[in-house]
Amino acid sequence: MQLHGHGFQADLPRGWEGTIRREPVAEPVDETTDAATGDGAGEATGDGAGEAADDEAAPEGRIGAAAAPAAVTAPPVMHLATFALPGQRGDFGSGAVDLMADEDAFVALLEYGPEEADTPLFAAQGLPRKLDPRAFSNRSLQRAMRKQSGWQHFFTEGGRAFCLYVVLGDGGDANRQVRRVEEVLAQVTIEPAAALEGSR
Amino acid sequence: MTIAPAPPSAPSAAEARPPITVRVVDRLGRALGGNGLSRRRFLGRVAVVGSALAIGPVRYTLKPGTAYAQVCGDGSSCSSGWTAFCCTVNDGANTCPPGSYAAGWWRIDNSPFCMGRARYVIDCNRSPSARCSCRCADDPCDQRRVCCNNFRYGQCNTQVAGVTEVVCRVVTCIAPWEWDPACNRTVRVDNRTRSHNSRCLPQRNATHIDLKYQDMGQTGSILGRATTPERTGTAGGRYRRYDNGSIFSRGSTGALAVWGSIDAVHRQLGGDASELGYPVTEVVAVGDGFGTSVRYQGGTIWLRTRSATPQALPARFDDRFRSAGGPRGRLGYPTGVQNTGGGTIVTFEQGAFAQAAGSAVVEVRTDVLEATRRVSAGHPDHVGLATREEITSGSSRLQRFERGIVTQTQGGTLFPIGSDLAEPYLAVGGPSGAWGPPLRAASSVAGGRARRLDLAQGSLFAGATIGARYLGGPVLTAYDGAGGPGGSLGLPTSDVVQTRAGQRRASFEGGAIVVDPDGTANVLSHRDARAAGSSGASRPDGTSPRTQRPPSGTP
Repeated sequence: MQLHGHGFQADLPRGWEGTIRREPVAEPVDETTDAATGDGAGEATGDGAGEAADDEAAPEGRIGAAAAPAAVTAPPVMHLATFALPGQRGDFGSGAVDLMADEDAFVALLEYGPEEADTPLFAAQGLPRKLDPRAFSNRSLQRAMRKQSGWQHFFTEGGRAFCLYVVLGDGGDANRQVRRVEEVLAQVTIEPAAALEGSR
Repeated sequence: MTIAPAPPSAPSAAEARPPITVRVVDRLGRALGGNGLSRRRFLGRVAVVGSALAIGPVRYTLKPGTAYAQVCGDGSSCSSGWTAFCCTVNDGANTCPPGSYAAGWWRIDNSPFCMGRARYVIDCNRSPSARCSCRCADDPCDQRRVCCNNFRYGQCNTQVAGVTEVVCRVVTCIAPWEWDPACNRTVRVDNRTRSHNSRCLPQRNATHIDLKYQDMGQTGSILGRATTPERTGTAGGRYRRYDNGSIFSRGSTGALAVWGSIDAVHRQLGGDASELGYPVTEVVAVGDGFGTSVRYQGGTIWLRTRSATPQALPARFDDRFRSAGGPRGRLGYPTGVQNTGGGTIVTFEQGAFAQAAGSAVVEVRTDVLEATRRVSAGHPDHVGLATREEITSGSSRLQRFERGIVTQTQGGTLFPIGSDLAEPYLAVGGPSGAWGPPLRAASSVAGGRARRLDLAQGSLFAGATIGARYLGGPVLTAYDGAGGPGGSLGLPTSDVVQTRAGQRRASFEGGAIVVDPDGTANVLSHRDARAAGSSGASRPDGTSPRTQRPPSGTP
């Protein structure tokens, strides 16, 4: 199954599913505002069964129609998981990681504004394809959860700033789970910023 | 008359039974209290139950869960893995504690804690050079973790490399980049944290003032701790006082905070009930690197420097001040406001505004103001407040005041002239008129019975018994030659008049001066003057003498 949109591409191995989404940039003004419910909005999904994936991300019209401050940016987020992703989840996987079994893995690839590329936080270059299982820790999680371990890495690739966040269902089995994550990362490509600019 | 307390009466059954909310709180407080709890901790637990009932009585009563869960939300235990709120662990301050920095943020849409608008959670991560150890927050409600989760959202302070532990979380209802310009606008969302809260943060029933205080940092803000509950002010507004300021809330402006000596002055003047009313701005910089101001409905309070005394300008002065360029204009900062004799004078670093009773606001230049201040109250030249704008009369400056004018000599010296002399002087055109500009300030003459103003073309005399008399030319020369007001002639009782015979004459208390057409001046005593009258000539003032009547009884 293929997943692509917003300058991401991923050929997901069997057993993985993923989405690419962008949050609406509008700040909601009341509880009845439809665009305010960000989770799940503008989502492209695919599953690991090899079905055709919807590669369109958030409907631009909806984003553009929102009365948002022009300077607010909502770069895309790619979620990859070995389990069924719930519709409502945080950008770093809250609500999803709660559902992980021991053998599951969750990967979030989050883009930041282009102005952040190559700043000290994003100084590392390139999406890592090889991960060190020893770098995973149950302290390196957005929310510490039993048995889980995580790893976070900020980097720049192709003039674009990213954060890679990986959660393993069982940190005690990191070696095997990391190999599985590496398999899916090997299938992820990031288009350079210049190419994205040219396609707009 | 004294008022005695009413005798106690036995309460009715209904009165004896407390309201259900009180009973529920008592019962649950007892249940939560258990054995062995300190009074402080017990009361703390009861307070949480009370908060839970206030926040959501139906939800709290009908749904399972603890009172803490209602107040502090999901995942409030340490084992839940989330990070505690900063105010929980930072003495009520909703700010990043020392040794931490804003490292990233996320948005929660439609938050009930922000009146349905977006709520933002900002992570404060350990500074790379600081140390902290993982622990659980020591709070019965928000027991979340402190300095445990090595995690970063990554939208703030990206000049700081690396990932460190999240010490605690700040909450705002304003955008993070407004809260801290070091945060960027890359939106991350986590609505799963919608219910997260703490006892020290505004609850679902928060007011605009609560949220404003939260966004400023609560006890960590410049306002300090609250000293009063939120109160209703004039015209339906609301306000709350703090150690070092106030927050005001009105529908048209939202909540605005004012702090420091500006707020202290506003309070002294009567706060929202004063002429200034409610603030319409917060403390804003003047733009010169020093000064600040707060604009109110009815004026502005200006502060030149931190150590200076703030000056409150009512709108009638403030509008004029702003149109003149404000503190960066020619006037500089206001330095004082003085109410005097029904009027007001506002002094600036360079000049003043004055408003006499019933007059418009006028500007007074510094040298004019100083000229008026050289004369003490009670002096005939104490002219009061300016009533007209300064004008240029001929080559002289002139400004009208309540009781006179300020003008200048040919040499440029400014001085005030009281009404007794100023009014007749202005009647003939003032400095640009026939009498010309003054030569010097007015002086007292004739033992204080009159005052004299020497002008370029003559002299003006004013006194209670003589009115205002102007002498000039050879008559004045002869008068001064004869000793002037201190001589035998005394004070003038007429102006100089021209007779049909071509003579110029003026009469005095002790005689007259007659100047013939050839320029010969004759100083006449009373007797001489009478003699001149008996010869059939006109009097020195030009009037014809009456025909003398014989003494009564004369045959």
